[in-house]
Amino acid sequence: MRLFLTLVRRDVVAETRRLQAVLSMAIFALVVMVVLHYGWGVGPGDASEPARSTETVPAAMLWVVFVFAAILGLGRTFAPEREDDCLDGLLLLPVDRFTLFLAKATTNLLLLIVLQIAVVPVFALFFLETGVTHLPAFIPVALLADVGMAAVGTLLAALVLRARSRDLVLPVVMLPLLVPLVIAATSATGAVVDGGADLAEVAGRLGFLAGYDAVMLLLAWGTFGILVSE
Amino acid sequence: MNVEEALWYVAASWSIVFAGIVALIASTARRSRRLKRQLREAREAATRQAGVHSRPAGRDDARPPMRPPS
Amino acid sequence: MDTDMQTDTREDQSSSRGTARWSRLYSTPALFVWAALLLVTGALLAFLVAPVDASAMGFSQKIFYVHAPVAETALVAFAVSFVAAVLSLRRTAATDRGPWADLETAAIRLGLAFSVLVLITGMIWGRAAWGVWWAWEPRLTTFLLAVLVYASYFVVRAATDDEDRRAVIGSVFAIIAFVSVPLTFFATRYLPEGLHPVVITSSGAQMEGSMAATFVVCTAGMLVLLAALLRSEMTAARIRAELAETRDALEGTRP
Repeated sequence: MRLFLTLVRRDVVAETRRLQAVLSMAIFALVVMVVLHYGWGVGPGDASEPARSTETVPAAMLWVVFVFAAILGLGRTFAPEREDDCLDGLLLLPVDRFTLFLAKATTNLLLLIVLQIAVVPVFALFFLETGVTHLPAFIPVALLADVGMAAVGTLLAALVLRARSRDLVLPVVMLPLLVPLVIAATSATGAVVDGGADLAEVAGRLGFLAGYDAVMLLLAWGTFGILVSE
Repeated sequence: MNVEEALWYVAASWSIVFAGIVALIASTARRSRRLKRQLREAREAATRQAGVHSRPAGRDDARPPMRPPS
Repeated sequence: MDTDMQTDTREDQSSSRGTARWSRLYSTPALFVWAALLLVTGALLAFLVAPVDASAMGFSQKIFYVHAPVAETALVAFAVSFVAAVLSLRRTAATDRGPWADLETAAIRLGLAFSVLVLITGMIWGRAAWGVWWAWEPRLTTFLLAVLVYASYFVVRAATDDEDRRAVIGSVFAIIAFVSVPLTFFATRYLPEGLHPVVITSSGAQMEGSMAATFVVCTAGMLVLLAALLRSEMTAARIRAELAETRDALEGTRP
């Protein structure tokens, strides 16, 4: 018995690295809850429409699904450079750093669009009663949000390029920064799909998404060079 | 909510903030004391070591201390 | 005693020899005293002098006098970290970067501490005013996200093993993190439709005379406190650097 306790104590002391990981996981869990709230649209202190039956899933939940899937894929942004060790080679090319960033981000954007084309019909099939009849209004929302995710994802992937345990760190770091985007996207999607709004009504949210994208691209322009050099 | 209940809430808020501030200042002060002590110890060790090394090197103007009178 | 003088850092020695006795007025310990005076005065004003709010919140509105200044101070701390991060990145040599990176980290640590206090007082106020411990209202949600984002600042730094790289990465992240705060606030305040978040922190722009005075005193106290804490953090960073230098020298001369 005493041996058992000694072993436990030794393991606890040795696992301080794990405790740091627990901190990361706790942060992640909290952000997930924030994202879920904006997908679901209910919570204490909300005077929201009471007619949110538990049998229908709000269309906004699509973004919850989507953001997590995207984070998994975005982590692989610089995998080719790491595995083949050709980051230095890329840096020798006569292009400025921001162009490199745009190339990577565009690839990510295309991947995200492909992912959406696959996921959206399935989501509608599983969860939505109305089906995807509001597609034309949904597409601009999706595209603007995709640009934002691609920009943030590529920038942060560069940030954690040489970090230890980057597969754990990247999701933890990316998700809180994506929350404003998620809020705008879920709000717009809910209005369009569940509420039948047209583009003009969600113009404000589209504007915000465009602004978010612009800000993130500007930050990338300013900082990407520093991240990949040296 | 009557004033009495509200008073508890208000008092709780203020107390927590003051307690937090005191905790911040206390931890800052303790760390500052510790760092100063460590710096002092390190400096003393450095001075001692400099003393050790200057003896046998034999600079021209250095008088070796405690040399027995020949 | 001799040892006491030796523990003074170089800066302390010069300031005690310094020209003006005035400089003692804003030395680090003095700043703490100023902050304490202001905060105690503010507390007294809030409880004894400021009138009870006429709205439905009544007496519990007095939480505002501690909640809002702490919130503003947290935001100021984050703003300081943003400026420090930008300045740190503009330096190309790692040694020049040091002080700015230290300021950035210290500011974020303090901003985080203040933000936690914002959340706690905000939740208490929400409970007092509306009966719920949490509401998805703009200020609380924004500060919650700020806590999570700036906590992940330390996660990112801890995951980077190379020290020079850590400073650069930290600074870049500090910049991105600061930008996310207004973005989050704007998103939570203006976008969610169908959710009418209960705005528990409604404080009219026109505050009656004594209310305004109380608010100003409390805010000033918190800001001076922040300045004092930042100062002492920077001194600690300087001592730490000197300590590392001295220890390196020790290692070097050891046979």
